This record gives sequence, C-alpha cells and structure tokens, in this order.
Amino acid sequence: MSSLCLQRLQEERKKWRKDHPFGFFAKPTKKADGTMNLQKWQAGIPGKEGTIWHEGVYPLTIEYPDEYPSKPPKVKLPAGFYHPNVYPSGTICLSILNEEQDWRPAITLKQICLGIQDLLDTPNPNSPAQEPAWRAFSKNKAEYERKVALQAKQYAK
Amino acid sequence: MSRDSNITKIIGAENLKKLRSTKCLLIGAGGIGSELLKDLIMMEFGEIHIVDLDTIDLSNLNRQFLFRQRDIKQPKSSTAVKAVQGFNNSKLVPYEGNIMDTTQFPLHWFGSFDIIFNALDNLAARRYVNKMSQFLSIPLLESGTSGFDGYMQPIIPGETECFDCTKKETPKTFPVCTIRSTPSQPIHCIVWAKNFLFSQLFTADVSADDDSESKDWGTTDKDEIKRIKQETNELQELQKIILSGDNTLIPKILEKIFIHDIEKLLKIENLWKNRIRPTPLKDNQTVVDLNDKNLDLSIVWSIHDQIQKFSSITNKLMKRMKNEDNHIEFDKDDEDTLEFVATAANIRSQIFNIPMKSVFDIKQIAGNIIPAIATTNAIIAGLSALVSLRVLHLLNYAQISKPVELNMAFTAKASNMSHNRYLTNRTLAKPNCKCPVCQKVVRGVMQIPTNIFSTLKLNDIINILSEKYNFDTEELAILDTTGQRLLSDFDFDSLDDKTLEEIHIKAGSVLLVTDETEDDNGMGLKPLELYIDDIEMNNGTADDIKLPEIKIPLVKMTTSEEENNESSSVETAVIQTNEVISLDIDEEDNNADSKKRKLSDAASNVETKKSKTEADNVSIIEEDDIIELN
Ligand SMILES: [Zn+2]
Repeated sequence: MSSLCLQRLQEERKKWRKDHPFGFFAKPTKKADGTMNLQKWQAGIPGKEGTIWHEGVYPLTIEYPDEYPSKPPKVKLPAGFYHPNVYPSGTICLSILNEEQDWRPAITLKQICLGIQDLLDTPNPNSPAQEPAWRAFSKNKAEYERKVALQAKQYAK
Repeated sequence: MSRDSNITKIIGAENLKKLRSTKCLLIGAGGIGSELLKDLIMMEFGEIHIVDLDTIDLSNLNRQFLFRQRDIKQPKSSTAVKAVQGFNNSKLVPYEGNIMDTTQFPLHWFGSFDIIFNALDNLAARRYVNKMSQFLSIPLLESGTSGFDGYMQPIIPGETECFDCTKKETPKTFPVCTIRSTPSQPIHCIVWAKNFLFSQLFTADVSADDDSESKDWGTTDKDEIKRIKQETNELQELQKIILSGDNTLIPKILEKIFIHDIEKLLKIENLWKNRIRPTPLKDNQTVVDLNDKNLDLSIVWSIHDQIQKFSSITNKLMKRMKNEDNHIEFDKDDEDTLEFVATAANIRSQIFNIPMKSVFDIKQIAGNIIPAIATTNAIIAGLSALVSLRVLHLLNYAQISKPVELNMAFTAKASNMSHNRYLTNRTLAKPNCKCPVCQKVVRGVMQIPTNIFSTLKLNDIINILSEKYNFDTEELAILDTTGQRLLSDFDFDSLDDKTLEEIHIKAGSVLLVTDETEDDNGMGLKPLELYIDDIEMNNGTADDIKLPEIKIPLVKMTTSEEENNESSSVETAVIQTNEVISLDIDEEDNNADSKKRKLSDAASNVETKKSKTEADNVSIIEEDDIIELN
C-alpha cells in the first residue's frame, strides 16, 4: 500500500474524531495480533428520525483498497440486508462509491456515512440491486414498510 | 582502441579513477537489468552489486541476452554475473533475494552504495527502493519500459521529484454491474468470462455451501435466506455439472448462462431504456456436438463455431478436472482455458451486440500482455547509465550546478506530451510539495540495541520520542507502515504495555509517528517516519538508543478537500513496466473521459447524490466485488 493511502487513512481517523454526526460511530477493526487495521473499519449508521428506519443502527463494514484514495472504499451492509439498492451480498449501490461515477478522492468517511443514511430512506427505484426489496418498494409499499420496520427492530439501537 | 582509452577519453583519467572506486547497486537482472549490467561493466564501475529474486525462464531468452537455454531455472543475478566475467574489470557481487527483505538487505546495507539503479518490474519494489533512497539521501536512477515505451528518471533526494511525487496508474477496475449486467465492450465480456465464469466453474471451492446452516445470512427470515441461497447456488449448480463429468449436460450450461440469465436481465425494463436489448441464444443453438474442430485462432469465428467450440472445450475441461484435483487456473498459454474464455466472451458479446474478437486478440487482452521489446530496454538502460555519470559529477563537459539541471527521458507516448518525436528529455522537477513520501513526512533512523527489543515497551518508545521531539504523549499516534498496523493513538492504548518483540517491531520496521496536536491556526508538527535499525549489543540499555538529530517543522495539519483532490489528479508523467494494463484497444474512448474528468468540478454536497446512470448499477445476480483485471 502506498504512503498516500496510509497517511490519508490516519487523517480520516483524525477527522472523524474531531467531527462526526450524532449517533454514528466508526472505528478501525482489530487484527488478530491486537493492532488496529486502518484498512478495515466498522461503522454504525442510525436510521433517520421520523422515518421507518429510525429504530435501527445499521452495521457497516468499510474496506479501503491499497489504491485508496484513487479508488473508493468498498462499503457493505450485512448480507441479505433488505433495501432496493443493496445487493444480496450487502454491497451498496451508491454513485459516490463507484470509481466510474461520482467517487472523488476528497470524499470523507463522514460524507459516505451520511450518504448511506440518506439512501436508506430515499431508495433509488431506478437502480435495483436486489429483487424482493425493489419489487416491494415499487409495487407493494405496505409490504415494504412492514419488512423495513421488522428489520429496524432487528438492528435496534 | 581498448575500452580503457575510450572511457578515459570521455570522462578523463582523473574521473575514471573516481569511477573505479564507485560502488553501485543494480536492482533487477531482467530486461533492463541485463542491459544495465553490460553498460556499467563497460563503463568500469568499481563495484556492481546486483540483486534479483527471479530465476531464468524460457520466455526471457529472446531479450535478456546474458542468458542461454542451459541457464533456465538458474538464479538471474548469479547467472548474469557468470555470463559477464569474461569481459569484466569490475568487482561483481550477486544476491538472490527480494530487495524488500529487511533481514537480507537492511537499511545500512543500502547505505554502503554511492548510487542505485532500479531495473525493477513492479510498483511495490519501486516505491520501496525510492523510500530507502529518501531515508539515506542516495541518488536513485529509476527506469521502466512497456513495449515501445519507456522512461528513465534520476532522483536526487531532497532536490528533485521522487518516484512518488507523481501519481502512478493502477490496474483498471470495472464496476461489477457493467460486467454482470450491461457489458458494452469486448473487454467487459472477457472480464466476465475470465474472472467470473471461468473462476466460478473451475476454481471455486464447492465445499463452501456445506456449512450454510451455520452461516450468518444477516437475516432470520426464512424466505430471505432461501432467496439469497438460490442466487448464490445457481452457479454452484453449474459447477456441479462440471464436476459430474456428464457431458450430456453441457447444453444446460449454455442454456443457463446464455438464455435464462439473459432473459432475467431483460425483465428489468429500466436497464434497457437507453441501451440495445440483448438477444439470448435460441433454443436450437444450444444443441451441439462435442467433436473438437480445428479453427484458425487469428480470425473471428462465426457464432455457430463459437458455440460449437465452447461446448467441445467445456467437455475437454470437464475431463481434465478429474485429473487435476478439480481445480484449473486460467492461463493464457493453456489453450483449453484460453479458448473457453474466448468463446464464452464472444458468445456473450454476440448477445449484447458487441463485436466478437479472435482468440489471438483475446489472448492479448485476457493475458494482459504487453510485449517486452529488447531495443526499448537497451535505449532506456543506456540513458540511465549515461546520466549516472552526470549524477556522480564525472562528466566534465556536461557539468551540473544543481540537480534540477539533470535530464530525465521518456517516450512521447508514455507522457502524452509530444507526438512528433520518440524521446523527450526535460530537466527534472523540484519535489511535489504534496508528495506523501518525500515532503509530507520527516525521515530518520532510530537505532535500538539488539538485546532490548524483548524488554523495551511501546510506552517507553512513546516517552523517549516525546521527550526528544517535544511530542504530547496523549496525542501521539504510532503506526507500523508495514502491514498498516495502528499500534497506539488517543483512543487505543491496549498495546502500550507490550514489548517491541511482542508487537513484532524489529529491525526493518518503519514507524509513522504523528503528534495530532493542532494549534489555533491548525498548525502541528510534521509526521515523523522512523526506520528501526538495530545496534549489535549484548548489554545495551534504553540510553544507547540513537535518534535522528532533526528539528521537526510546524506544518498545516489537515489537508483541505481541494488538496486531497489534487494530490491524486496529478498528471501522470511516468509509466509503469509490466503493471499497466494497456486496454487502449477498446477502452480508450470511454475511460479517457472519466479519467480526465476534472475532479474539482464535482459539488461538495455529495452526501445526497445517488446514482446518475442508474441503469449501470442494476444487477439481480449475487455480486461480491469490483472485478479487477489483472
Ligand atoms: Zn516525492
């Protein structure tokens, strides 16, 4: 990995320490040898108040490739997460996380986390990543909301 | 005329004497390395130490002229030295090993050389040697070639641009949605066939689904689990067909990937709003005979021949699986695997209205091959050897008063600069003030007695450093740069009581030490990068530790957003040997735009922005990763 990547990751940690949105958390994971792995982080994204997502804090894993920040981190929710724009593997379909779309090296962890919080309640119906949530969201809102609320309970704060 | 008198004529008797006592390090004995070794010997360098990790391969012989058929499988470094003994006046010392191995090649070993020549083939080693040259302030001559292109760059630490002052290209990646759902170029289909289909069918671990009961699916909803399982299992079904060895099932494979999967994609209307809809194969197209046919690999076959060949190759590979432990790796030189990938890619191309390619063309692309050209190596090595005389101040008629007067050289194509000449040789630039290697940190060596690694604690190190450099112990972050391990910071002190040995800090470790304190103006101490070296001692104490005598300057601590953007949009002036994938065949148009798109124009309110080109992201197939072509 490049020096640029390492220095930037350390800066991300510092920036998060100085300023992060209320109710969110994010920190590097521990390696087997007890040290912290700056290339793999864990975060928690609270659902927005006043939405069907509000009861949950949704766990996120963020993996930074060696080529970061030229390339975006890989951000995942748990496998099987119920959301129209989340692949069955948990990978999130968001343009700011896509190298060929809106990823820019300056995008910070805070922006990513806020972007995902926002995506939770405002899915993009034109960008389906899984069938069940996408279908329910476009054709059966009641069913969709029931499932989301159920899932929120599962990840309750 | 003898060699002696030639070199004397060029540099003078006085300077020849100096050259005869000059000790140089040559890293790499491959394409450029063989050439450089010859050049350096002809110039009569006093000592040439040559390092290479590799053994000689048949494919090296056409250009690495020091090697012969009988040398195959022998180490490159020692074989090269043997080959040149006959015409050699220099002291030659070969080493077989990885230049990044700190036990074999500690920092002080690098320190014994007057000049370093890089003739490497990979980015990691280039970066490493660049860093060592920065630690020691030893001039480095960096070089690389790729086909007809190449570059040579003298690096004078502290004075001129270092290797990492300009951004380096990394292998191209494709978003998985393009690969799985919406290919638009031959390369997309080749990546799909090679990295996705082939690896799933012939290399995946089938036993993986056995523990599905205990697997965490992220949900307890039974229907959900069933759905996820179904999606992940479909490919395993195909793999089971392969493993069954039952060739009557081959049409099933064709039907699944070239009819059913395509029909599924067609159901997602949104995908095809702005795209031509794919056309799945017809049922009657999947009825095939399995006889192997001989076809010309350099022409594009008909779709019928592609399907026929796909089937017969699948049949062949199915049989091979039995004898090869159910595991076959893609290898461009393994004709069966190549033809499988080529035909699968072509059938998919046909379905998506993309032009098909010949097997030969696909081999170039899938094998990620850039031919190595002996002449390019010779030119670049020659320039590198020549400029070393100026770096060492041995060329009286071309003296330099400061290092930035030295020239680098690169081919026009490598730089995108000039198209009416082959080589450009601008003078060197000053270091890039945003360079993470030569500008953003202060460097030094920390020497620790060998006997106290087992007793000295991380906390002791923190205290020793803080005392010496006036750091705030509470705000100190310590990182082991090898392995990206954070050892201690404001919120993490559980390792502070561990000894260096316990946390695997040894001679050769490089620590990044940052005091995160900021004053009201956002100023703080520049981070310190410390190379840990050992002093051979039996009864040393913490008092014997030696730290670099440097004053750490105050700098602006947090990089602004604009700076972050800029630091990675620096124009690429240098190419990489063997690492760049040259996809210009198909990719140029599409990617040139996205690459060059000025990053600064993107707004800062990215948080709420979602996919613009929605259709690009659609996929109902299980996906895992961005596929990397390499
Ligand atoms: Zn630099």
